[in-house]
Amino acid sequence: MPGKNLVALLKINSKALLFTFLVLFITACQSDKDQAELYQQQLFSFGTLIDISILNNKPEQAQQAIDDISSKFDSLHDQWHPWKNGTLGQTNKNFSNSDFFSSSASILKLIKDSTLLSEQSNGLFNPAIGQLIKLWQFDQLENEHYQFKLPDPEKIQALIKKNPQMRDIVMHKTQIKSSNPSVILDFGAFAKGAAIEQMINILEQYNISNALINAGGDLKVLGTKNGKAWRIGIKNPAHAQKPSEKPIIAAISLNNNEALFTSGNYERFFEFQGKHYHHIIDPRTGYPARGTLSVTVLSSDAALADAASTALFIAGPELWPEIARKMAVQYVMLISDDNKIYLSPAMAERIELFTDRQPVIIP
Amino acid sequence: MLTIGKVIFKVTDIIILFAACILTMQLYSIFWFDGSQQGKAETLLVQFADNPPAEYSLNEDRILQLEGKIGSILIEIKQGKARFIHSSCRNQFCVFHGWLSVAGDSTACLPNRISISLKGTISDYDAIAGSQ
Repeated sequence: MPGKNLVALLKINSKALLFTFLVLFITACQSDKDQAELYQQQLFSFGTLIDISILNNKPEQAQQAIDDISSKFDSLHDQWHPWKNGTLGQTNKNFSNSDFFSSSASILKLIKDSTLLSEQSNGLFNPAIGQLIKLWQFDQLENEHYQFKLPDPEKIQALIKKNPQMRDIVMHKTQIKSSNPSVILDFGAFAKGAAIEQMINILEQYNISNALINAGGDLKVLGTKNGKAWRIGIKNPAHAQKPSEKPIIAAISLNNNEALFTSGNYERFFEFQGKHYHHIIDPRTGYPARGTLSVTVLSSDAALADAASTALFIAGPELWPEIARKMAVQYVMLISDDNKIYLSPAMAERIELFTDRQPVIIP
Repeated sequence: MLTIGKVIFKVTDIIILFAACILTMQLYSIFWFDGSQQGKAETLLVQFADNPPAEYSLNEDRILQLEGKIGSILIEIKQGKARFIHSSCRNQFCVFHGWLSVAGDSTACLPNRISISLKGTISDYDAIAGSQ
């Protein structure tokens, strides 16, 4: 009976076909054919080590974008340096007069954006304390003759009393002045985020939609790495002091256009007479902020993530949820100096922790 | 008809066998390589200024002496990890940084314009947050 054989044949074959398609489907998913090439380049710029990864099938375009980014970082570093002769340096000099003066559009934007964030953070993020940062010489880190000295406590107190704030800056169209002569702008806790946003714009101008820009452990991503989300490990702040601790405390996968910024007490610090002095200065006391080991903030806005990671580090384990709410930051991880892990509920849903310690989730 | 049927059945057998082999290989690569071997650093990349990076195996313990922009640097490779152990720079952040042990991690001696990064064939992470 030919008909019967055919039915049997089809039955066997349909299973085999289904199986074959399944295999082909899995193979196709992993095919190298559609995979874009990964271009990576390291730059020494902006006072840090910058790693750029671009997925693209046009090597010349990728290289051009990297060259543009490199020269942009260099030029912003000069323009935004608080004490060099660039636009911010000039602006800072002009603040000592009480008259209105013109500044560049790029500086005016930095002032506008950071003034809002400074107010939202209750002044914990305060770019107006440039003189205080200079006292600690954390602006001199690239200087090869630099040597750490503890600042004179009286000078610190004097600057705290003068209370320079972003709201002391008065803006009238493109003209600005400061009503407080002690205002010196240092965008150390904001410039990297603002610069990364500009670099992302450059990538978009080149129609590059899959990339990662990592500036010394603070980063932003576009798209994916050949279909897989960019996966980021977060450094364990306790590892530097205690090598028996795991080097990576957590991992997170980033979606398109997300930035991840971390402020840590282990990043730039000195040991002096048995004490640890790191670079995140509490504007309320004039000394390095205490109580926090590290803060990681995720946001689609790298500049906000930068400012918020500093503000929340200074806020510490008790105050951070309030400041995070005010700054409209949803994703936060804070590790306190007693090694407790605090998470915002949104962060708790996305982060993968590599520790037995139970995190404290604070709404 | 039966003969033809038998021949086709044998071809089907071959298809199934072939497909099973590919599937096994795929599953092996998905579950084995993305599992226990994940994140293991194998190579140290050392870059000076804008030069292309030099590669060193992490399997061989050794100390590298290099000349940076302002002076000498010593880098130690030991048991699959790497670190700066001496630098002519003043602030010594590179030395304070300690060991790099995870593929994807990197650090640098900025005054000397020397960076070190770890790479692995299959890396757990595309970047390490808070690495400097």
